[in-house]
Amino acid sequence: MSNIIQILQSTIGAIKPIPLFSTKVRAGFPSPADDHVEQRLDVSEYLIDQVDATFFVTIQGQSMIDVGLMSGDKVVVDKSKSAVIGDIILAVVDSEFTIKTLSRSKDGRIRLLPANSSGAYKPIEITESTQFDVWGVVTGSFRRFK
Amino acid sequence: MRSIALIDVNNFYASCECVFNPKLEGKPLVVLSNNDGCAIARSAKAKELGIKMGEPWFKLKESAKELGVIAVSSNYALYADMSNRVMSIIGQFAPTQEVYSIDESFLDLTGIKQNHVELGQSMRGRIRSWTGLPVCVGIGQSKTLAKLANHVAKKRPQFNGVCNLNDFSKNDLDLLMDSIEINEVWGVGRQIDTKLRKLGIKTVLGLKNASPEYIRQQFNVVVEKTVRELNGITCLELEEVAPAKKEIMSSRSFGYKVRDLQSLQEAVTLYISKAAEKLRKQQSFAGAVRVFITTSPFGDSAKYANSMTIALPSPTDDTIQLTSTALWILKRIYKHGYEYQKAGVMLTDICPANAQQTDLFGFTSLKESSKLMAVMDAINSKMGKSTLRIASQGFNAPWKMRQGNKSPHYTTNWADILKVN
Repeated sequence: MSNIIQILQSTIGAIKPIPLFSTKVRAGFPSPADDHVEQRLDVSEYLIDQVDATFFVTIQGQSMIDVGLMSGDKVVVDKSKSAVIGDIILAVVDSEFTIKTLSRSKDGRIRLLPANSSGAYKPIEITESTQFDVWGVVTGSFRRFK
Repeated sequence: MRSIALIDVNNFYASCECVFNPKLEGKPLVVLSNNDGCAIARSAKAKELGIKMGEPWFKLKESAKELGVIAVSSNYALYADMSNRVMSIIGQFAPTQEVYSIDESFLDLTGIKQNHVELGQSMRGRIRSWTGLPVCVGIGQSKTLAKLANHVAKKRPQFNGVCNLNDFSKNDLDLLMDSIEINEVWGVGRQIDTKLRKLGIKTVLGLKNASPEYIRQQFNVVVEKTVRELNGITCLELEEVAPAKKEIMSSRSFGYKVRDLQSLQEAVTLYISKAAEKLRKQQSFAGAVRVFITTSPFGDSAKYANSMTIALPSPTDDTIQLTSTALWILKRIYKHGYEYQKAGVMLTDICPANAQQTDLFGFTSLKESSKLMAVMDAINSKMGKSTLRIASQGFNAPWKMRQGNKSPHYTTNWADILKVN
């Protein structure tokens, strides 16, 4: 009985011994890591919330460099998320894809903002005649150096 | 009451193309078979223009240009990945799912408390939002009724994409069935259709009201089951239904619970060799392989089911190549610690071997080929250069080169993903 660890579980008046380990410890030094086996860190898990709704897109051009999206970067686009003002989105504007920040102008209209302080890129105003659709929300980005 | 749903992606291949190329939205689009031989999928607009399924592209080509029809080569890597996403999302709604084909899945809704039309609408919404693909949902007491309901959901806009026949009163259901032609019933092909009409059965209602015994005498037990299924008696299990010709399926429930990967590997290897045999018997090549494994849906043991489709680099009927692909998939979807009850494989994107591998010249011996060349030269010199030409890249062209207008592998190749400003 000496190697049976007993836990006293107190529920309503009842006391129950629960054996946890009944095997003998063998000679040799057991790995202290045995109790801490966990899944190795996985980049996909970090970047992806909904795997079935996630797509990757390559950034082209300089229009979003101020938010850290450089030409050639890969972005994670999650189609399961609904976009809110301030999100970076992959939008379809008149059948063309574009990645911009979703915002609203003073008169309440949707406006897609570039992030480049050079002023080379103008905001895209969405009017009644514009065909506009949010394809997905950009939730992250990644890049390799070599 | 039994409640079986059939979820089906509308114009699946064409819709996949539109997700990644919004310019195609609303356009008449046809997807061509491997080899660019014939139309294997059409967008709604292309259907409106009267383009038929299986129509050879060389026949369509001229008029297609005038009508503004866009043709793309089939992109199986993309369709397989999108299919995996859709099937996985459908599986979130109920524990018992049977993937019937690349774009159709049955789902058992029996016992689910939520209103099933609402559930169907949530499925539509989630699939549309997460993948960009439009689906319709049909619900009924049997697979045959679910199929029929799906047809109604597709064709009649008032249902808004979801039709639950279980909500119909008997009168309304009869009225509906009386308005649908007999050939829309699952499993009623041209031959059965012709004979049924001769017997005076023209609508679904007619078949539903026919005596099952009489139908068995006139046809066989399969059509008899169809009659019973139309009457709400579930009698068709997945294996009992002959799979569509474009797919070859081989699967089985195990006699005992299987836990280890090796046993599953043995099973999958066997199924593949069976399926490959069928494939060669009908002189076809497969372009994609699907493998699925599942635990028993019943009992208290832990539940797990998964499946995955992989497009082959080039279509094949080679058992070794198919097996290695299937085993690779199996390794990816296998999870340790479950008691598996069933495994299966499905060969899809099936096309005739002759259209695939060889062409006119491939069948001709060298001698005859050179004779032909001599005749060709003679005609050309008489009638002017290029009067006779070799069909586009026909000579030793590998099939891949004939995929003239294939969209990129948007979801399976880093170099191919969308590039956006």
